[in-house]
Amino acid sequence: MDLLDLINSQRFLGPEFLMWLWFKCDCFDGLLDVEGHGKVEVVFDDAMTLEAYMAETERSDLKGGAPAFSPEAKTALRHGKRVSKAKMRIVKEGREWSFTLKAENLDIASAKIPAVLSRDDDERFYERMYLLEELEEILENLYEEFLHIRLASRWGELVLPAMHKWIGMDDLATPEHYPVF
Amino acid sequence: MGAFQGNLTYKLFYVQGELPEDWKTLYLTSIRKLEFVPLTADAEDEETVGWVNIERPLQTDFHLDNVVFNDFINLGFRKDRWTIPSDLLKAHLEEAEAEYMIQNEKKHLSRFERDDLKKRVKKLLKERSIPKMKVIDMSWELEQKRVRFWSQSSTVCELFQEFFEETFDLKLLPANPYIHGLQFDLDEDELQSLATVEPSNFMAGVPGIDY
Repeated sequence: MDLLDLINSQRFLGPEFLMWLWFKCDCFDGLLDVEGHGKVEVVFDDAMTLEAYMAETERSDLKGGAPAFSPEAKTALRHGKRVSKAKMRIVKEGREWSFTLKAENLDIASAKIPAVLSRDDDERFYERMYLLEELEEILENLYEEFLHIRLASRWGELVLPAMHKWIGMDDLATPEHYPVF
Repeated sequence: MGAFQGNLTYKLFYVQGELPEDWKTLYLTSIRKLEFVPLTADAEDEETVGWVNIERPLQTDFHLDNVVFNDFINLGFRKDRWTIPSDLLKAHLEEAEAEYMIQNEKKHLSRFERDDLKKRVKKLLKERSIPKMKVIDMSWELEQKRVRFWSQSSTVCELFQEFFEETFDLKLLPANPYIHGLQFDLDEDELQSLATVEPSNFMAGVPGIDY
């Protein structure tokens, strides 16, 4: 398979990553340990889109409130839909990033970064890039954690069954619902 | 816009390959070679792309101070396109054809005459209008080998990717779940699995819904 085929055939890992992240955030109330960054708060914010796998015309756009905790979102999951886009917030050491993460390519859109202090144009540019890099690094470290799990047998043996249970649950998840490796 | 201020919606690319030793001189020459050249009414091109100064999109006077920012190469990717409304073109063409037939005492026009008239009308309309301009910021973080490009349109991203590769003679890989995975510290088994793993079934064992 050439590179383009691999890119296209493995795009499903993006929506699966967002589903796993949502599950993990639900279990740990959004407070996650991120390699190299310590405790980071990851919040699924007020907009989420779920799409049917292989049938992208079937779509649920949930806006306002906290869609990740809504019965509508769980219903969409039970109907086989997967997260294709989510508005998110990340809080680290009192600094907050908000952005939309698009699952298909893991692209960041409409990002708002913590306040930039520099007044000089060039300094402001370096600060903006530093803050973007920090956001990218947090997301990439989470994605790397997901891949180490997803590409090992513990995904099928422990995580996927736990996610099935979570999808079927109406109550909020607790840390006990997340499998121990 | 985007790198210095405003909207932070962008596409991430990974750069493949190493910088040449004399990259500053080499790249400055390559950028100047592919600098933005405005469209003219006479030219047949409907669209053109080229590099501009990131902070001054009408300027193509490149030097190290306005291209290299410490560990970054910053440029504007400018794309201009003639956009003549089809109804306007059609109306002017009909007028021109009628006038031509009267002047030449003709009842019908050949295909060649029609095409020639269309070219002349288009040129006249181009002379009276200005092309649609789009400038997109590009910021290349050299040490991290990352390029951020302030557009997520797949057509524009493909155009940019090709233009970047032509300018710097380095390959770009657009970020996506598979390419991100290749950047991580995955072992041989994981890399193999990354290429072959299949979608999970999230529905198995999930109880049905009562309506």
